[in-house]
Amino acid sequence: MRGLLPVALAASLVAACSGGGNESGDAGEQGPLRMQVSGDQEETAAFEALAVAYGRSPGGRRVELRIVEDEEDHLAKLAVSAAGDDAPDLFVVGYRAYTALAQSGAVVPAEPLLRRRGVDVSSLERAPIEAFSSEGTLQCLPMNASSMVVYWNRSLFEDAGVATPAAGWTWADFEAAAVALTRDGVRGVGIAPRLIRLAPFIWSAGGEIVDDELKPTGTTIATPAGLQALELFARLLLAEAIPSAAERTSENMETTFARGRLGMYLSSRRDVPRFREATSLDWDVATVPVAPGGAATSILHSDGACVSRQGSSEAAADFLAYLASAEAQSLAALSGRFVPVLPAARPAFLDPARPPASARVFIDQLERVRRVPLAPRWSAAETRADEVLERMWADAAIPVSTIAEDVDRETARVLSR
Amino acid sequence: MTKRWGATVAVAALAAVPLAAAVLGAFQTPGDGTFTGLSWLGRRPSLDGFRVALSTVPLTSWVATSVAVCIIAVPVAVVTASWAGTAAVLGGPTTRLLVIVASGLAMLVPPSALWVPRVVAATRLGFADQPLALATPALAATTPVVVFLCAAATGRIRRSVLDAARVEGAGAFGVWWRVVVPLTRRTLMAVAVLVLVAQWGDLIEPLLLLGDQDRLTVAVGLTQLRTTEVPQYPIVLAACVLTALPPLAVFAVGQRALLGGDR
Repeated sequence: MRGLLPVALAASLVAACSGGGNESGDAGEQGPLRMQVSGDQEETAAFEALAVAYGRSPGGRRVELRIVEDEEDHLAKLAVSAAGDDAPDLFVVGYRAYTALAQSGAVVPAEPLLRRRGVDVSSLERAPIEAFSSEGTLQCLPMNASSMVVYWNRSLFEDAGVATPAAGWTWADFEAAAVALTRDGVRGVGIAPRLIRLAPFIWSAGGEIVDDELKPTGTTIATPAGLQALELFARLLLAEAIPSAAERTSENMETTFARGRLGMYLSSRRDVPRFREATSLDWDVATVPVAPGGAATSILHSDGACVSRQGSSEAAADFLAYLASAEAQSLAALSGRFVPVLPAARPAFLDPARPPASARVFIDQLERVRRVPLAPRWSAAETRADEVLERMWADAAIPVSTIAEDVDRETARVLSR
Repeated sequence: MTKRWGATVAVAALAAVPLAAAVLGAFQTPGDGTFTGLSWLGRRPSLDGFRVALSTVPLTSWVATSVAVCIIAVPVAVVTASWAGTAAVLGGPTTRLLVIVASGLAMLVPPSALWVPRVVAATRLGFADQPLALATPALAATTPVVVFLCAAATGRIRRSVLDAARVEGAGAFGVWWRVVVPLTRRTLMAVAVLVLVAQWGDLIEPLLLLGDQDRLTVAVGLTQLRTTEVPQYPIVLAACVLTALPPLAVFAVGQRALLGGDR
């Protein structure tokens, strides 16, 4: 009998500490909505503002944010919680990752839920709507219609006597500017060794990044357009106009740009809140440069709010409808993080008092943005491609044809699984 | 002997360099130039990193969660492991084989295979989003390695001592409490340290099982500072230093017991 004492003690501890154990796990009518998002503090601040605003709105409800900083951890937590029947009521994912979740049945299609609440889906931006649609039905509400742009430092351009980027500027302008801006302590351009950063350059040169957009079996970087884009960056790497791997390890490129030691930086809208905080930074945005004889283009960056099948779908849908409202879209736009998907929210987005001065670039690019394939294995293939590209950034002497062939071979291997 | 001491001191000094840089870096003023870890030397140390860390993230809540989990998990795991080790020794060849084979098989199971079952179990038991869910593996000793350790330590007790306790009328629990625990104290302390380290530093389980931002564990909470800009690293290091204090205090208190026993 005495032998059972520790067990009884442990059981009593368990019982004592588990009081109200299902309090937050219950997606009942009165509990808070649980929403899982990914991103750093600047990024998730917009979601916090939206959650607070919804809680205070008529008929609103408390939204409990679950922030997972790392995107891979975020997706792992979503997958495991969905498999364990404990998924949050809503979650936010990029369109490049949502396909696998949607196909696994973890998502309740958003379109019928929104239509029942009077939301006209056709009034939203076309590109992100298409990215989050499957078989003609919108699966998740896009929160963002961002795209890749070139952030540039006005002071560094003026100091170097380089012409500022203008609409329709070319690869030659871009390369010349990057080299001219490079000097002691300053690099010309920061671009991460990632396929999504290279893709607009390949498209602009008339190429494609995959063999089949609907059912890709591999990337097509080892093509004239792909090699042309890689050669552009190989030249910039050899000219030391791009931060080296060691420099990127000691300080991320957003910080380097914010500290005024990077002339240009290629990224999406996500960095705007951070750059707005850098009060000594004089910056603006420009379109992605155009390839010789090519067309202007960019790549879509969009995150969508998805209703989980395991949560309280109706209550989650009410919040989703709020997120699609002009009020919520304007609030999100003011945060700087989001390019609104609702045109009615553009005045807040284009507020001239808030940089960048050329914010309209994000709107204008929407007509010509493209996106990566919506395939379940795409995210894994992209990760593998990025690992190969990292080799090129670490050693620019590696022939670009070798890099391109390796990317194509490795992605084909991932996509064929 | 001198050579051995020299090597020990050299290895300790080598390991202490990054640790010292981290502690010293925590006293650098956040945002004061590029962070080097030692760049404040020669200037006045700053406590701003500590102030900012304590005011921007719920550091004390995270520490409280981790401490609560360890307070439950460590003793339960030690008792369970010691019981299993004692059973392996007292129970005869079949029980011993069973314990060893079961522990061996358990070690072969990849942790990721248990993620979904853990979430399902926590949800069904009403522990979803409760820090307590993190302590439940202690009921299975947390890791099979500690069962092996306890079995090995108990196996070194002379059989005649165990038999004498039995002759004196002690049952299985009596033998464990009066003979095995005192004679394997050092091993049990080592097991406690292993479980403490495993629980305190575990990242993936709290990440999967907890969602409330105020009730995260230290390991998961600190990841929220991961993308802090380099010049602000003193804040990250200050948070690390603060959250390292509880396990250091435990070690300071427990090292005598850990290093002074027989087994």
